[in-house]
Amino acid sequence: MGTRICFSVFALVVAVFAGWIFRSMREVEPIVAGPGVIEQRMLSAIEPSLANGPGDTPVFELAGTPGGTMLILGGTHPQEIGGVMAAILMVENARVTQGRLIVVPQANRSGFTHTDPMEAYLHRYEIETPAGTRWFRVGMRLTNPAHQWPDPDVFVHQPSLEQMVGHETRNLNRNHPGLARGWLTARVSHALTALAKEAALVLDLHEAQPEYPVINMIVAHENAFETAATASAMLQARRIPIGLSASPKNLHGLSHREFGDHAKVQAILTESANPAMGRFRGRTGEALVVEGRDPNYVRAAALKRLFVGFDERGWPLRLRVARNLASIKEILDAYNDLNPQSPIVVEGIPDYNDVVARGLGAFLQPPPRS
Amino acid sequence: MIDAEMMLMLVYRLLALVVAIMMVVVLWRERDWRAQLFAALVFVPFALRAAGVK
Repeated sequence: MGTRICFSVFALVVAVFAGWIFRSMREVEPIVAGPGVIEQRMLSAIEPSLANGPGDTPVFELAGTPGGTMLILGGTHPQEIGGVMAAILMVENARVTQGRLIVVPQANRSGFTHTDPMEAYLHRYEIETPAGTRWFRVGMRLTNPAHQWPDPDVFVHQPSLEQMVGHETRNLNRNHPGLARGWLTARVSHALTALAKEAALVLDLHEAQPEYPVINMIVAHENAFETAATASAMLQARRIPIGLSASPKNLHGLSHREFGDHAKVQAILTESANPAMGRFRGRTGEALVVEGRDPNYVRAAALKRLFVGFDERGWPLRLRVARNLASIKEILDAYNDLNPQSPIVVEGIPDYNDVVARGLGAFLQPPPRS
Repeated sequence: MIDAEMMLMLVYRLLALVVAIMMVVVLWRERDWRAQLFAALVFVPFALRAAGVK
């Protein structure tokens, strides 16, 4: 009887403690609308079935005089935080003098409420600003299984009928263009595709592990290839090496393919190098997630196992975000040169050298007073 | 309105709840302390999934 009571109490204590940790990941970090934001709405304004649910997410709009429209997505894969932070810095700093900029910093918001099981991921990280500390969640690549389950054995992408492994049904970047009457991730995708249809240019910000070949790369739909090639060349000229890759025509569900095919926009995706996502990584603490340092990756680079250089300085978050912001600026400049009839003129994008030198905290708005 | 997706999720959570309850039954029926411990450990994730927390 004694062991039964002991184990029962033990199980309840563990369940309550673990439940408290998991519930705490549903607390939403503040994203502060900067001086250029003219409207903030939720994605459910486009797809009402998402209202008050885990897939509903803020949509920020910045606008000036009439011109073209650009959509920026961060957090399609929530643990790819270099993309999330670049989108947040756009919301909190950018001002649009001509055209319209729509930013969704947490495209798959359900994915921010959990982390990958058995991976010992950090749940949140902090950035110091002059006015106090801001915090952000790390999240995971897929929609939370507590919000969308069960996975099928085989995920059949619509409308291409391409077959993928079952858990990709919770991967937002395999669900595009989405379904109006589908599962949660498909409905989020459907709403984002509707937003993309309002735009002429879409940029989806991602990160990848250093051992992944498509890294420090711009991936572009054929509609966007001229824009992307010009931007890549300009980045190379600025000594910010970012390569260029064509979106494969038979790889379905990805933003750079489906937004181009279905929304008829210039669809571009970027990948920066995030060592916290890789298989060679050691302890996944703030030193790795924020500072991007890991001795295992230094050794892997010495053994030529990586597709990016890696030394003791690592790939800090500030550098990855600076590269993403530089990419946004060059993509916009290239788009404006090639489409002078409907430009998108954005000011206040934090400068690459400033972000690297001063860090992200210098460009984040003060934390809201609770 | 309950759609097919929500119905599937409810069935899944009910199954998780059934397993969690079975683990409690095993914990209190078994005489071997190792089997009791295993039941206690297995109970945790199923209870959390049934509650929709994880």
